[in-house]
Order: sequence, then C-alpha cells, then structure tokens
Amino acid sequence: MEAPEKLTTGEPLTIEEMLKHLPALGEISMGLLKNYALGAAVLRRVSKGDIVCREGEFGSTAFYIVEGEVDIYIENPLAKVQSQRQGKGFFGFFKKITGLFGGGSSAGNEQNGFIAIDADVDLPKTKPLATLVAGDLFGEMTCRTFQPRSATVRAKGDCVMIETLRVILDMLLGTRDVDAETKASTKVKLPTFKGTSFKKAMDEKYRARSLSNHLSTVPLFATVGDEFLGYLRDRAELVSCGKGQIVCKQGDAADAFYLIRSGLVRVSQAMPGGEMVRTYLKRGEFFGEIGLLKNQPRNATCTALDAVDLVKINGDDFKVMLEKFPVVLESLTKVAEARIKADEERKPPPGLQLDDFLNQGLYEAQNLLLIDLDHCTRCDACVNACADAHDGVTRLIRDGLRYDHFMVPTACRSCRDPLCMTQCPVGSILRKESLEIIIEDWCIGCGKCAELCPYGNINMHSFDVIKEVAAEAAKPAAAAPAAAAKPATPPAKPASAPAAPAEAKPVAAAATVEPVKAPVEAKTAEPAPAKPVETVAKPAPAPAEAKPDATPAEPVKATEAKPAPAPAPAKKEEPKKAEPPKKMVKKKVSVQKATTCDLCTDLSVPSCVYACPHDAAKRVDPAQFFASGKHGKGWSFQKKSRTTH
Amino acid sequence: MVINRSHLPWFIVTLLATAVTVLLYMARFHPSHVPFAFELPQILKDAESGKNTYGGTRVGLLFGTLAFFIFLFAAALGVRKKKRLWRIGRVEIWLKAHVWLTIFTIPLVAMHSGFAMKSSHSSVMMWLYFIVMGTGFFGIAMQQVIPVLLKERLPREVVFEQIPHIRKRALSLAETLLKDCTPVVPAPDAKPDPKAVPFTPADIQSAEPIREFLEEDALPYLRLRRGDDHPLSAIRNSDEAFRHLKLHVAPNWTPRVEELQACCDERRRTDLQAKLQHWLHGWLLIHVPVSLLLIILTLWHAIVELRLVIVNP
Repeated sequence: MEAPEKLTTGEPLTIEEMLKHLPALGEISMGLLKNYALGAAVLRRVSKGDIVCREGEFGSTAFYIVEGEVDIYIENPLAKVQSQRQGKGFFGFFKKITGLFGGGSSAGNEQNGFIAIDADVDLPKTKPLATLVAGDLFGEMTCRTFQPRSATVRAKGDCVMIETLRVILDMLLGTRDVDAETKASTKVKLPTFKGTSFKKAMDEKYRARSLSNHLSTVPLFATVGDEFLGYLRDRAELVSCGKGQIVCKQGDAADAFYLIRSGLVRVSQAMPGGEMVRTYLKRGEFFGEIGLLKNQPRNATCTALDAVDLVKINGDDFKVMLEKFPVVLESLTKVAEARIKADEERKPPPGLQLDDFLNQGLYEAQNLLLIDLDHCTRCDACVNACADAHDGVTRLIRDGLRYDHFMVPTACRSCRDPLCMTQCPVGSILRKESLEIIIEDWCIGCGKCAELCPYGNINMHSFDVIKEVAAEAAKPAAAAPAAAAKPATPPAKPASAPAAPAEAKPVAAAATVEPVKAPVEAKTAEPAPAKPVETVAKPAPAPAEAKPDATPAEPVKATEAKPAPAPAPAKKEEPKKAEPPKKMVKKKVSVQKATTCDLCTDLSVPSCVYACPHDAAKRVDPAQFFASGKHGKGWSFQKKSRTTH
Repeated sequence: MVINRSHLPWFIVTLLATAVTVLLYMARFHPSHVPFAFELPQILKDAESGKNTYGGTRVGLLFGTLAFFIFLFAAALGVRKKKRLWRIGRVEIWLKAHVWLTIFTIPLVAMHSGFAMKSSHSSVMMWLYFIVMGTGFFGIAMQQVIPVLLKERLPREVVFEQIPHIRKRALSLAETLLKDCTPVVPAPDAKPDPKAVPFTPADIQSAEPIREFLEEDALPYLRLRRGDDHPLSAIRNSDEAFRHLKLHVAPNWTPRVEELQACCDERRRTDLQAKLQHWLHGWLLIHVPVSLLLIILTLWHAIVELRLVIVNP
C-alpha cells in the first residue's frame, strides 16, 4: 500500500494552524514544514456518534485528538467457529451434566486479559471498549506500517481532531528507520527527522498516566502490588526503535529487561542452517529476562519488526527489583525455564537431509500433517473428521505438495516463523505453548493472516451470528444511511453491513453474540449500561475498578486528564433533544473470521489423525521425523514414537 | 489398510486363538488325534446324543456364538466410521480388529459347521460368508496395491468429487477452441463486429487441422463417459497426435494446441484416477450389503437352531 502525498478530506491546515494545534512542530524548520507538512495534516470535525475509522479498514493516517472524547472499541463480535461439536443427544446431555461438576471449560479463562490495539490503551477482553481524550494519539501503527485499523473509533461528543500522514508523525516523533525495502518501494521520499518535544511529552504522559496501567495488564505483574508497579514506573526508561533495529543481539551481555509498549519484536536464534525465528512478541510481552536471571549472554536476537516502543529496565534495577519482590522472581524464573526448555526441544536434529525439504518450507514447520500416500485410500475420513470437529467447517484440504511418499495437505504447520502472526492488528492470532496457532474470538476478519500465510493454510469463513442491533438498523433500507454516516475513511464493509453502533453497542456486541449453531444455553447477557467511569488518573497503580473483573459493564477510561474546556462550537450551543433509547432487536448477521487448524487443541490427538482408518494421517515434527531415516516403506515404518501424537 | 509390522501382534493373537479353537475341536470330536493329554472343561462336555452334529454341541455352539459376535463387531465398524468424534479408540485400531477378528471367524465357522454344508440353509449362509470374506480379502489386496499406483501414476491427484466438474471445464475449453477455429461468415446484412479479429490466411491454414482434430478426436474423447477405449486415452497415441497437429499449425496457434493437449491429459488422468478409485472402493458395494444379509441370516439361523436344540436336546 502506498500512502497518499496529500490529504484531501477534512479542513486543510495552514502552517500557522498546525503550529497552533501542535506547537512542537515549531522545532522543525519552516522550510521543511512548507515542503512536507502542507497537505499532510487536516482538521477533522466529527459529530457525536460519527465513526472516525473502522476496525479492519486499511489506512495510512493517524489521529490526534484536539478536543472532545472518542470511544475506541472492537465491534466485531467475539465469536468463533466452535472447535468441538457441541454435545447432542444422550452423550451431549451426559456431557452437560458432568460439565456441571467439572469446574468449567477453558473458555472462561480466555476471557481474562486485554487486547492490544493501535493506541496507548488496551481493551479488556470482556468488554473491548475504552475512551480516548484530548491529547491522545491513535492509529500510529496503521500510519507507519499500513496495517489494518485495529479498532473502531466513534466520537462520544462533538470532536476536533487532526488527521495526519506519516510525515507529520515522523516530524513529531522522529523517523523510525524505514528499511531499504520500504524505501525502495515508496514513491514518497522523505527526509529523516529526529523528533520533537512532542515525543518526550507523549512519553512522559504515558509514564504518568498509562505505564502503571500497562504494567498491571502484563500477566507476569498481575499479582504484584502497587508498591512494585510504582517502583518500576520510576525506574523504567522509555525506548523507541525503528523498523529492523536490533534491540539485543545473541551473544551480547545481558544488561536490561524489556517490556513491549507497542509494535512487534521478532526473537530469533542463529542456527547452522541460518537464522531461525523463535517467536514474535507483541505489546504487553517481555524479553531479556533469561540473560539477567542466569547471568549469561543473550541467547537470542530481538529485532523490532516495525516501529517499536519499549519499556526498558536496566539490569541493576532489575536485580534489585527481584530481590525486593521474590514473587516476581519466581514468576520470571518459571517463564524463563519454560522458554529455555522450548528452545531445547525445537533444536533441529543432526543428520537431516535438506533439499526439497527446504524448498517446500517443511523445515519451517514444527508440527506437520502428513498423509502417507502408500497407505491412504483417499476415503476423506480425515477431512470429514476435521469438519465434524469444527462445526462443519473443515480446516484441512486433502491437497498439497508431495515430499517423498507423503502428501503435505493444506493444514496449519505451526511454522517456526509464523508470518501469519506478524500483522494482526488486534493480536487475535497467537501461538500457545504446545505450538498450535490459535485464532481468538476477537478476530475482526481483516484477512491479513490469510494473506500472509505462505502455504494458504488460513481461510476466511463467513458465519452467522445473532447480534443485537438497533431496530431501525435491522431494516436494510435504514442500514445504508446509518452506515454511511460520515466515515473518516471509506467503509470497507458493504452498505448492507450493520449500522454504526448505538451508545452501548460495543459492550452489547461483545457480550451478546453467539454463533448461530451454538447451543441455546450459551445465550445472551443483558447489554450493560454505558455510563463511563473515569479511572486511573494518579501515578499510583491502577485501582481495582479499572480491571475488567471489577467493572465488567463500564468503559475503561484511558486517562482522567480531561481536556481544558474548549470553546464550544456554534452548533453545540443549540439545545439538543434527548435521544430516545433505541430499541434493540436480535438479528442474524454474517461475519468474517479467520480459521486455521488448531490441532484440536483440547484433544490428545487431532481429529483427522484419530479418524484415519489406515494410519495414513500423522502429525509429526518433520525435522525429527525425516531425520530419523525411518520414514521409508517396509516393516520398520510404523513406530508410534515418531509421531507427535 | 497396509499390512505391515504393526499387524504382527494381531497376527500372533489370531494364530493363538486359532490354535486354541483347533485344540477344542480336536478334543471334542477327535480326541484320539490330540497329541498330548488334554481334557475338555466340564462345561463344554455334552451329554451323549446319537445325532451326528457339530454346531449343536457345546463346543460348536461356542464357536458359532463367537463368530456371530465377531460379525456384529465387524458391522459396528461402519457405525464407528460415521461417528468420527467418538473417542472410543482410534478408527485404525477398529479396522485392524475388524480385519483380524473376521479372519479368526474362518476356523470358527469351519469348525462350527464341521467342514460341511449339510442343508440348503447353511449352504446359503456359507456362500454368503465366502462372498463377504472374499470381497474383504480383495479389498485388503487392493489397499496394498492401488494407493501406490495412485501415487506413482498420478503426479497430481484431484479431489474425487470434483472430477465431473474438471471434465466439464476441459470440454468447455475445447468447445471454445472449436469456436475460435471456425471463421465467422458474416451475414450479408449484418454489421461488421469491430472487435472481431480477422482471420489471416495463415490462421485459416492452422485452424482447419485443429478444427478437424477437435471434431474427430478431441471432442468425442472429452464427451465420452468412459474414455478408456479411445485412442487419446493412451499417452503415446495422444503425444503423437498432438505432435503431429503442432506441425501443421502456425506458431501463434501452438499455445492453443498445448492448452487442448493439457485438457486431454487432464481427462486421461482423471479417468485413471476414477478407475483406480473404483477398484479401491468398489468392492465395498458387495461387501457391505452381503455382510448385513449374512448377519440377518446368522441371527435367524441361531434362533431356529437354538430352538431345535432346546426343544429336542
């Protein structure tokens, strides 16, 4: 995607107007401003209820709120294709009864935590909604990397905001070392900027308002008290990295611990055959603890995949912190040991013959579905079992390249370098400890992961959900004007898409959606009242009410720092009639979600393998399997130990 | 199911079970031939009767009952295959059990019947049993051979259910080519189509042999329900025919000929795939219904014979 050179929508800003709203631009020379800034920022006035941008849309701009407040939320319902067929008949009834005594499923646990989005605030999974106020910036990642918008933004009241292209961000925040590939492909040649005091101000604002909040959302620090968070906040250094910048290099001395504030970090290790990507870390995750805990050099290289902001804690402070807070030491040690163990397990075995194995990308795979063509009778039991296990939508297509006497069908390979995870705007595609790639419920259906998977193993499926929408929006005739209510960017969805949400819509949408095929008992919760609550203002750690468990029905406010009362626009002076409460109706809507093989994560053996009558389908670690040299025909073939399940 | 090393335990168990069966049979009906001292358990001993029967004895009944239950278990495989998500043992284990337990029914049935077919009723059952076992063995034999053939002869398989669609698409492409090879003679009063590409003399010279080949060979072949007997179904004939055709067309028509050749090749591959798949799965059309019939007759046989044994022991 190529960014436009000038913005054509909104009110064009003169240099003077820009300097008025963004005084930090005064640190840039007038010549550069005239050359590059003119046309790169416009003033947007949005009315209450207007959608500024929608999740999943592609864009190239960021927004800075000058006046007013906006709701930022994930509109797409939290739902996914069921991984297991819901119990039916006698066995279903029996399962339900036993489930009452079984302590619940893991689904409930998945509801804890936050969704990282393209703003300095995380959305609670239970109710993905927050508020941004004057002085906040959102859409920075979309602006810099053209990734889809991670959330929908809707004006809470009349708002004034500045929409900017990347050049303005670069002026304000500094150029983030664009890599050579991007430089070569872009038509817009930009100078390099060092950044202004705006960056420092944003960092300080983040430190004062959001750092404690952010730290408290990290699972590692979830159980520690305010004292610890305060300790960290005072000592943390805020670091920014450009695309491709190495944060720490394998073999270097370990001198700091890092927490990711925004962006994506690639963790890789040097191997005899080249660099092997271990994982990608996103906002809220951390790295650098192994070297500090074990007093050893870095065991991996961590590289910023895009513009990355980090919270850096120096080694000395880190050690003092661990001495003062043994609970954290215990948690960190556990995580570090798990990571070291995982690294050991994934080392390629010696003696692997590399030819087509590399060409077909099999080396990248960690858990490969193979079909032995000498055994397979093409009965499709595997495909049917996959469909049965995933609510009728198969994630396995019995077609693909051949290697030796095996076919590698179209099913997730759990790649060592999971490219599919690199550009998810909401971080809903992730890898679990046992390697499986999971697409979580809050997938917004942008299709980026499917586009990125080199093997075509992620598919987009539309499936029906029951959603609560405003009564008039349920009618097709009324939907079109509502959907077209002055969107800041052209809506990616068709005109018949559900209308812009009502006041309490995001909460209701998240809580009241279920797949149509799901059993009746998984039904709706009442829409929560939409009264916003201001929380988390003081530098002290986040109070309990900011946590989703404590206030599941109320929006979390990013900050309590309210904008200075601005002169109200003329139209606001007119008395407005109180809007009558909108009638909500349930309607079947079709939503897009990405699906991929989850290795039937709740089961000991994937359904496709379990259902194969001929021992033809097997899930293996290809490096181990083919290196063993026992995968050929003959009497030594069928050894259970070589399969991962 | 490929018979390989993993079947060894099943083979040994079946062999041992057969040995025990033979021992019981010998001890009951030919005790003098048992090479070592062995006495039947008391429960398997019958009161002496003057009837010359095998199946009606306690040992014979045991064999018959075992065989019947194995038949029922074997039939349950069909249900197991439909209920793919039931975690009651991998389908592979069920299939192995199906194969080896039904093989074990051979000595059971043979000794239950005393190696004879005395009545028409038992003859019918025995023939059905032969058919079931025969098709079963045939199926296993096919499963040793056909998957390898599919792999070696078909570098790229298609999804079986898509074969009709693929054939239709190939036919459609060939028909389009025929249309393109036929110069349109405009009606005297028709307006000339500005988009129509005029045929040059070279085009006319190339189109003629292509049209002829399409009408006489390619289209009839692509329209056939089963193309095995057509000359183009042999790869050597096909290659020769297309090579010959390419010699007679201008270079700008060669890609179209190659496109047609790809259609014929695809048709040949799908024919082969369909044929091999029919060999691989076709035996089930006999095996499954005859098995069900056999189970019904066995049940009827058990009721009738047990009634006779109970009424007139």
